[in-house]
Amino acid sequence: MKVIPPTLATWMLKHLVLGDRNEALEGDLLEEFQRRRSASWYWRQVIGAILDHSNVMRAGWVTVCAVLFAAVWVCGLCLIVSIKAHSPLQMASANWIPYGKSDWIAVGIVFYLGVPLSVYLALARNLSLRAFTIGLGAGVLVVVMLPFFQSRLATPLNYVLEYGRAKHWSVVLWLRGYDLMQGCLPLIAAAWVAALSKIKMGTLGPQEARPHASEYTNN
Amino acid sequence: MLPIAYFFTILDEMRKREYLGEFELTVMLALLRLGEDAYGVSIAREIEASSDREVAIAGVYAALERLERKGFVNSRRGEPTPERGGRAKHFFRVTAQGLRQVRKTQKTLVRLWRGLPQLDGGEA
Repeated sequence: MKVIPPTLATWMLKHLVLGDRNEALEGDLLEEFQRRRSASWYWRQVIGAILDHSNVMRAGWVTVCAVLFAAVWVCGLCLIVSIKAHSPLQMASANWIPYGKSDWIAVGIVFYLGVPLSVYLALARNLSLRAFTIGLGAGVLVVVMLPFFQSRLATPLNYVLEYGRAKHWSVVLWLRGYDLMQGCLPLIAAAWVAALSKIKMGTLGPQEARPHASEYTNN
Repeated sequence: MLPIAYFFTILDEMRKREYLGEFELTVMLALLRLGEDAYGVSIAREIEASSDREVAIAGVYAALERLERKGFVNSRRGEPTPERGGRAKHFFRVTAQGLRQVRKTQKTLVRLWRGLPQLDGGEA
């Protein structure tokens, strides 16, 4: 019987490991997985491939800077949201309602992991900087415009958003999905606009653009 | 303090070194043992069998890429097979230049090993 390796690990292998030997690596891991049938071995191999220094080097300094930038961005948001959540004004407001944490933890995880991942995916593939900038601009514009519409429209969506703004002193930053969404939207938009533009324009990423390694020895 | 771009340039230069690192030498020896049937999985198995430790296949490919860039190995693409999900194997072979480098490394190591009292008797 054919055993299927962990789907998430396979997805990570396809998208987070750069280089021109990915096809061979995927095939090797699948072949060996069929023999060993150990999900933990497969996960170890995939994580090893992602963290391998040559994989990081392939991504280049632009990606490293982008990931650092994304991390600083998210940390900055944490700080801002924390200050807001603990301000006397918010504590005294009618919105100070403890709420179920599990949903917000899920939202928080998506954003905390999603932002650096999106930026990494966009820049590691050497995507169009122009498209990235346009996406970033559009995202910032949406974030700036959002409060304007919010204050004027009393819609069910607005109610949901207001409910989401409720605060409790023990609710840490992980739970502030809405504020995080506002802060992270430009980066996510930028990453995905850049990714879509690559698909549309058919531009070459580093994997396709780099000559096959065997060409070095043939010359 | 050096700008970050220099840091990556230095790392790039380090990758261009001509001598064999420990893992690169291990991979070269595994390639020589396997002959024509050397690809990612078989190389990893060969190293695991002699070292008793798990080997990251991606690490093997990273070493092979470095060796290929130096001209010590060359590769060819095999046919896609169903048991590998339709993905092709990449076979590797040591070049004449690679063999010369292995011999050179062997000579150096043997010279360094000779006459070391700490290594006599096999007890660590």
